[in-house]
Amino acid sequence: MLACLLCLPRVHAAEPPIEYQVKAAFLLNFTRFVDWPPTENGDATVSICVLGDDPFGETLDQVVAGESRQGHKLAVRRIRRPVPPSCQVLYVSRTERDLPALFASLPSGVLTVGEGESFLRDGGMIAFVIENRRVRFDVNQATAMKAGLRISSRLLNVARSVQK
Amino acid sequence: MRAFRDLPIKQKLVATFTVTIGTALLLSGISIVGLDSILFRGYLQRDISTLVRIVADNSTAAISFDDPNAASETLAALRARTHIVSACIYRVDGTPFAGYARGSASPACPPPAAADGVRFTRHDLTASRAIVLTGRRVGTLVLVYDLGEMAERRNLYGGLVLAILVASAIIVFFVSSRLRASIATPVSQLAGAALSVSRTRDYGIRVRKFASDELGLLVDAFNEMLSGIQSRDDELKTVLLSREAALRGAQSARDSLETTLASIGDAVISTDIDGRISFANRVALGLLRWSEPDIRGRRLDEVFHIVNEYTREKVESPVAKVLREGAVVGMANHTILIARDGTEIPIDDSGAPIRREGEPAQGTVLVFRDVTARRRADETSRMLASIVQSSADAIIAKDLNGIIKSWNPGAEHMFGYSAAEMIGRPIWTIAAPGHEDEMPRILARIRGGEKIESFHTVRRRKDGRIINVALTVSPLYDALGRVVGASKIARDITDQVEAAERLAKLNADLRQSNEDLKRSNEDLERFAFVASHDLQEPLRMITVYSELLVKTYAGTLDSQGEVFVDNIIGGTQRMRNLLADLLAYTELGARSEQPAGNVDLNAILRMVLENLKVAIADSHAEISVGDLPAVEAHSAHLIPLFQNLIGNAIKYRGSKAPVIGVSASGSGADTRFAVEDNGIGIEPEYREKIFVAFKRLHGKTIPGTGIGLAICQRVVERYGGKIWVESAPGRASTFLFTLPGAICPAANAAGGTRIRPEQEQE
Amino acid sequence: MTAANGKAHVLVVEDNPADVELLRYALGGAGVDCELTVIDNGGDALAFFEQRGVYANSTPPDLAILDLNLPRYDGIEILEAMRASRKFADVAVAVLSSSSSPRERARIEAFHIARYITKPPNLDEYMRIGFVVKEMLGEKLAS
Repeated sequence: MLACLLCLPRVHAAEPPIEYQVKAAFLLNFTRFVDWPPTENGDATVSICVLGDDPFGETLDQVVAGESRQGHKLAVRRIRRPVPPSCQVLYVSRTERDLPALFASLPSGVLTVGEGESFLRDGGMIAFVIENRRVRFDVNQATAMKAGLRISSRLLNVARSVQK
Repeated sequence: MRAFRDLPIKQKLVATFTVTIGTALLLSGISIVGLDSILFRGYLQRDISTLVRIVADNSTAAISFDDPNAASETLAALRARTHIVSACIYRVDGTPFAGYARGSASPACPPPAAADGVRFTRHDLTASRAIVLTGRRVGTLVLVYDLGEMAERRNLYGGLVLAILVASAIIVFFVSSRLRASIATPVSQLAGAALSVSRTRDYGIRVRKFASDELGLLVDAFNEMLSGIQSRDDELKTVLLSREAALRGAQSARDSLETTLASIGDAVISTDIDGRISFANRVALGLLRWSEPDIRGRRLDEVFHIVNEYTREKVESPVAKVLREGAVVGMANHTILIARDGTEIPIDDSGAPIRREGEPAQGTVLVFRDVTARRRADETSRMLASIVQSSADAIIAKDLNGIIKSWNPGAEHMFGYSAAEMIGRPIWTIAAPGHEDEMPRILARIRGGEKIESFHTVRRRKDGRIINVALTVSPLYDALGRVVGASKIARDITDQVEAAERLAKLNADLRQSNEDLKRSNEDLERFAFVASHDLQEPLRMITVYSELLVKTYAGTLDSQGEVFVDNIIGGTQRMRNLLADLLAYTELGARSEQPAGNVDLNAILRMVLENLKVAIADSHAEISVGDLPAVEAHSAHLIPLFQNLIGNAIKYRGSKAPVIGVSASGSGADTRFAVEDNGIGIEPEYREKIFVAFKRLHGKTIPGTGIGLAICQRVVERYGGKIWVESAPGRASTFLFTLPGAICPAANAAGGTRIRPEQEQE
Repeated sequence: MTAANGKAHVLVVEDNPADVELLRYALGGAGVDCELTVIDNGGDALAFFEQRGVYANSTPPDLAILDLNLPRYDGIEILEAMRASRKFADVAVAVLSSSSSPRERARIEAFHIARYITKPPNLDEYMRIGFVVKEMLGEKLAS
């Protein structure tokens, strides 16, 4: 499924299913290029949490199924506020309001991913944007560093813009 | 190998050294280049593998996030390695994702290989590597590296080996030449000396001795042998030279005498004491038509026949006379030599004895020459003199100062002075008053070698009469080509000049009266135009007020009054028609301002028939129109032309309804137009008068202005054509005309675009 | 514009009194009730349009009928003077001419002539001029 996604020469962002297939693949790929601070509990699972209305449907589960990160299995969870502490990646749906309060409540070590340029202004780390009918993303490196996350320079290279 | 054996010793030495050292250097050079190639291949393989791995790692994010631009930027960093031809990133399904190519070429990479590795081909190296993200293959990097670098290294090392080879060859050359000085040089000098002695026979050559070894002894023996030969050779040469000099002296004395005789311009024949020919030069042989071997030894009488030109008697050979009298004899004039082939040649000749001082004659010498050319020149000058004497033109020779040297009878007759009067007098004796300076000017031009031809001027006769002359004056040259005088030929052209003047005056008078006529004609036309134009105004008033009178007082006029007014209206109507036609006629004479256009006569006919609609209907006329060409003309001229002709055909009809045909026949400038009718016809005596303005054949019974046909003629003549009429009186008339100036060649040649007009049916 | 008595005002410049008389007759025949000012020479016509002398207080007529063939002054000069003045520049002009040559028409083309009328050779056509003038005056006659 992932291979098939990447082979698409051009992603038609106007069609929600394909747009979110791409975003699901990106979400998985983010985990490859981000280093989390060592955790004491050594939980066996890395959780990708979807907060609010889930736009991915089955897609994200299919993309993540069977994947792992440094020997830890990856799993998808759909959650409501308050955010449980076990989320390493937090995808914030467009339906969520009052984001600054949400981010203030998060513990460190959570990679926040959301939609639109305003997501970074509100304090998010990675925001999906559509440019030239393609899915791209902006990164706020400063916010990530404050949360103890180290984002690979290769990821920063392919970001549309990076705030430092 | 045989070739090597025959080489000189010094070259053998050089060759041996060169081959030995060259071989050693070449072998070591090849090994160095070969070894370097192998080592460099290994190095390159490791280097490119590393490079490919780095690039592949750096591309993982770009391919994961489907960002070809970022991948292209990564690849673009390869620019720093100039030997990288191209680099491409393929997606995992093999479709291209991003590429880089050296320069501005579009990237061309081989398709991705399944396995990683580096492959050498002849010209390049292809490295392929999987791009892996967390153990999963996400794409493939393929990189093409050209092996130009290897060739560069090979060239560098090869060049180095070559340079060393050349340097050592030079060193070998110098070392071996030092070596050969002591062995090869003496031997080759000895060989050279021997060769040069046998070639030049110069026994004075000696070989220099370098050392006292075996070669030194050989040189001494060789030199000694040479000096022995040399002394004997010198003696022999002295004897030979003195004998040769004596022989040459005798030969040259005889040669120079014979050459002299052979090349002089006169014919020379010498005989012995018996009159046999011992020598005849080229000129003599040519005149006698004999050849040298045939003539030698013959008696002179056999070949030299001479007769008197007038008496044709044989003349005694001068040789016989010389032998008899022992003295030089000349020859009588008018002697003709009859050559072997019968040709007669006038000659001058003389004979003389050949003898040594104080001894009797040993033979004779006969000298003669062809005088044909001189005779011909004499005849020519006699002939020229008689031409000059008998010429009616005056032929005068004068020197450069204008002093007359000859004066022929023509001159005596023309100027009235005799030759005796004029020779020795200056030429200006015959100058006409006012033309005195002409002669010095002519003489100045003659001095410059110029010839004056057909110069028309005047001269004065002895009796004072002035005559017109045409002069041709040419320079006279002496034998050295210098101008020494002038010959002047004068012809009396007084009659011609007077006739030409009379003709010119006549022409001028004629032109003047022509212009007067034209002007008065133009005045008349202008008058007619203005008159007819201005006359229309009062006429209009008469018409309108007459009508107003009838209208206003219709009830109050009695019948006679109404007839009067009708007559007024009828008269003015006729006068208006007359004036309109007159105006049209005079306007035709004026130059048109607009250029002529291409007019379709079929269209013109349609307009004319429309204008005549009422007349056609009233008369029940049947009109047929044939194919008509287009013409280059003004339609304002063509409408009245056809309208008058057809109008006349209707007007002058007989008792039957008119049947009228309009047609064109022939082509190009010969096209002939015809308007024929079945009307009353025209008597032969009137057929020319009808075209004159105001000439009418019919009284008021048939209304008309008398200008219609004059207008037709004017239109036709304006375009260079002719109009005439053929008629059977009482039955039919045909008006024919041509329009050569109006015919367009193109329209006629095409022939297919004519419009067939609809037939008028009543 | 319209004369003081409320009638339409027509200026006729024509040197031939017979033509003026016919014009009057034709206007009457067409029922045109207008005030007619007649000028019979070019000098007076120029004075009228340049408001000189007795014409110092001239007012623009509703229509000017001009004969171009006037003694002393050319019709062109009169048209030039008229179009050059501020007051008369817009007056509608009908040219009445004895000539129908295209050359003469071309000469006056620049002056925006409303009608070009050739002097007719018979009474019927002359009468028609009255209706032409009536049509040109149009609503000015209505009052």
